[in-house]
Amino acid sequence: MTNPNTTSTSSDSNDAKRAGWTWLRPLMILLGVFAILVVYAFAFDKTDVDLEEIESETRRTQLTRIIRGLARPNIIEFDETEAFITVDVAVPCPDGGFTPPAPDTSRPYLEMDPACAAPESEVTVRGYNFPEGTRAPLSFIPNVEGIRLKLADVEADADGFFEVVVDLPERPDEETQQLQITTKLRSGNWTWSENARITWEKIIETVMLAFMATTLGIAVGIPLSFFSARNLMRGIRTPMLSVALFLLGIPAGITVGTVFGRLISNLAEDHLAGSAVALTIALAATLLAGWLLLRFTLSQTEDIDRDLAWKVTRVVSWLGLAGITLFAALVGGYLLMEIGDAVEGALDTIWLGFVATFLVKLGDILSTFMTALAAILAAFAAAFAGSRLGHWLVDRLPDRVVNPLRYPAGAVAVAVVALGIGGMVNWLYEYAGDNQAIPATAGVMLGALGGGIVFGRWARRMSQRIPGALSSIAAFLFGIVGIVAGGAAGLTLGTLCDRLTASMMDDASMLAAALVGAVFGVLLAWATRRLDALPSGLATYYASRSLFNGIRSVEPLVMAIVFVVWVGIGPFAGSLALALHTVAALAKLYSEQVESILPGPVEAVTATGATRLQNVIYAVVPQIVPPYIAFTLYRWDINVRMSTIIGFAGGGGIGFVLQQNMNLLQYRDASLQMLAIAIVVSTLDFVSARIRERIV
Amino acid sequence: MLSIQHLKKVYEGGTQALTDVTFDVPDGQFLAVIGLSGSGKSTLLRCINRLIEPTEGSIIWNGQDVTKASQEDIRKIRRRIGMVFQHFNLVHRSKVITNVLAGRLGYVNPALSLFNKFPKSDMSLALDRLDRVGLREMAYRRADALSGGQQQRVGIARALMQNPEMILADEPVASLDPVLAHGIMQYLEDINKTDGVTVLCSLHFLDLVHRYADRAIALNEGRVVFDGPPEGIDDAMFKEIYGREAERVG
Repeated sequence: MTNPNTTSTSSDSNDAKRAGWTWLRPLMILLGVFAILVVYAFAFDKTDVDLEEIESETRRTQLTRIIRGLARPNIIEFDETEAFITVDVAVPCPDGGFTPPAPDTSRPYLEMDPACAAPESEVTVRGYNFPEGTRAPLSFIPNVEGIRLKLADVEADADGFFEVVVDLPERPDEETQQLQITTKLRSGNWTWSENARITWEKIIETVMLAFMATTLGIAVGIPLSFFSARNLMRGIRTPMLSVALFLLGIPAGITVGTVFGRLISNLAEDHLAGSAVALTIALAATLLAGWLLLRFTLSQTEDIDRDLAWKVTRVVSWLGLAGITLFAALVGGYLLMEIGDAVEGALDTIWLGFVATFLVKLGDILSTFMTALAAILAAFAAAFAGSRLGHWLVDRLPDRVVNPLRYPAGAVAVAVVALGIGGMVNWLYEYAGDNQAIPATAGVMLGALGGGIVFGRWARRMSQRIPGALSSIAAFLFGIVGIVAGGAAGLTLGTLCDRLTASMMDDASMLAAALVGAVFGVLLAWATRRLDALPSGLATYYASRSLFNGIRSVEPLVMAIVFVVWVGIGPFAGSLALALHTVAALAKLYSEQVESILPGPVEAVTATGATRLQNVIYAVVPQIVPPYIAFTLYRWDINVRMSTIIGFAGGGGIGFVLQQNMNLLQYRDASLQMLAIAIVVSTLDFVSARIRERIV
Repeated sequence: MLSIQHLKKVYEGGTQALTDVTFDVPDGQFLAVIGLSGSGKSTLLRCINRLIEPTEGSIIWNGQDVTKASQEDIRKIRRRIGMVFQHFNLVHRSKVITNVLAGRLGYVNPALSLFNKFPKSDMSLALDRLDRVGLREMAYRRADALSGGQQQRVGIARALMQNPEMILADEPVASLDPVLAHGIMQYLEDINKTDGVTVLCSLHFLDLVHRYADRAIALNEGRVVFDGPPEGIDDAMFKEIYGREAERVG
């Protein structure tokens, strides 16, 4: 046996199986070929494969025109001067005959043969010394202002000679009249065409759009990627009490953060905004205070066991630091606006006016979104503080206190979730807090989730007795049954709760939703009564995975349309749409890299007593830097290509111009834009290959 | 003093890795853990600092029950227990000194350490530890630029950074050639004899057990089948530990 792990009995049965296969094999292959044939026939039908259209003459000429147009990108224009080459002619012939003045034979010249003729008679016109290949119109110029009669188009041969037979018009005149060739002569100087200038402008816009989308995507995607890495999340389990305090912390944090944000915003706006001096002093003072507090906070080592007072001090100083940072950002924002306004004129003279505009906008963003930022940060802080408090309580309180506490904790935790769902339904469908759909939706979602998990687990336990593929199918069906049953139960519960609260007061659907959540929370606490802690890490993992999959399945083109509605047509909408898609795509790619790291270093760093965060920084991050950079570059490449498409939906970038030119059948113009995209994409490919070589 | 009582570990798939393992380790002892691959040596060592959660039983170390410790307490316990691994488990792309400093993570301010900032005292301690394993010049090389024996010495320096009271060594020399193996074992012996650090070391080769260990514990299918001085492993005992068909090598 080549494989020492295979025992003799199993390999014997494998051989027996294979022997049984010998006569079936050709039949199976035949069936497979037939199946592929059928699939292809179906695909042909569905994709309307039509060879007659390909044969059609008009379509061929159109295709030829497009291809020839694309082959000649409109990139430069030559300065051209119009030149008129004329010869005097007499129509009709005067009595004494007619001899035109002798031409300058060193330059292009014309002759008519014969030199005079009757109107509407046939004459031969010859041209000499024209630039090779000149194409030009030949016109008859009567002695009437502004009239020219086109006779023919001529083309000079390699010797600069042409000969053409034309009919003279019916324009008899006693004066001499003229035949004229109008040529455009390149004067030798070339300039970039208008199209080239537009293309340059738009390709820069495209690259910057992709850059913005990619950097924004990284900034959000990297932290999120750790939450959807199974190997990091699997071990995280949280006691019910912690989960409840975590979830309660979110609304509490948002409330406190909003109040704080408004407070400092008002303070800065009323007393500081508009005065650069006051702003500078305030910023300096804030930074100094922050720095001192930071020094104090960081000087605390963990060498020895600390008491509760020390822990409280630490939490308070971190909170203070966060508040000071927010205030400094706010004051800094106002100061940036002042600075930007002040230096705009000066910078404009050296073409850096956009830097000033950037400063003003940055300041504007900081001051505008301060309340939201404070709310988000406070929500995070409160949620994690709640979780820590929960851990601390569970560690210190005796089991007989903690165990009963699970039920109210579970009720509160799931009620918060249900309120979130209900609030969303209320807002989406404008129910004004009075509709049984609010508790019913919360009930259906929670019930389906719970039913799916419970039935899925039962199915898995049972399926261990049923062999093979059958068991997975059975488990899947069983899970669906669980989802439907749980959903139905949730629906009933939601409706009942709504009736109950409606009988007591008006517009109480949100209360009913909370009630539904509380019931499910108690059920959850009961179902997990034997567990010390809930698998919160895995729950986060599945939640973030589903979220990313959802976002990724929405095409950036569709997102662009939504963002165009929100922020208007232009590259900003495009970069937001791409950024959102980038976050979801990168978070998935990144997290898969985190999942494939070597577990050894993580184990070793854990064994030194490091915290989870330290572990990520010291054991995980060094391992994922090369793939992260590779994927980021790859994503930038994708974003550049996608930003050409985003323009089709009004998201700015080169796509808009490209689509316009294609629609106007200006293939020469479109050709240059396609060329520009190709150049940027291949440059990026080359650069990223070099960078990857460097760092891996 | 480490006291392990009725330790049992059943993995999720139902594999029983440890069954009723009970023994005491006095401070300062060099204890070898022997047994076939899959006999539960690694599981036993990892239960002691709870890299693996034991199913039942208790592990009392310096009067504290490790199995009942909270998340925060287990970090404090872990930082006093150094660990050395068969595959060294260094972070390849980091510098040697960063790998050594990682041994200090349980002690430093978590916020500062996130930015790779360590106190000056820790920096000089790291260089001292590297000096002790003879790798001071390699401090700023990348870890994967080092040979296997050197990497294991970095692993020992990392464990020493923790100022450990006990070192768990999980087959520290199984990936090394015999000459390097003795080198590594001598470092562990020195740490045990000079600093009085308790060492629990799982080993494959009996001659290493005889040469370095004060005492040996043998596991077979998760049960303790021998507990005594290394000299006590006679031919009969050997067959008991390693099975009927086994032959002695080395």
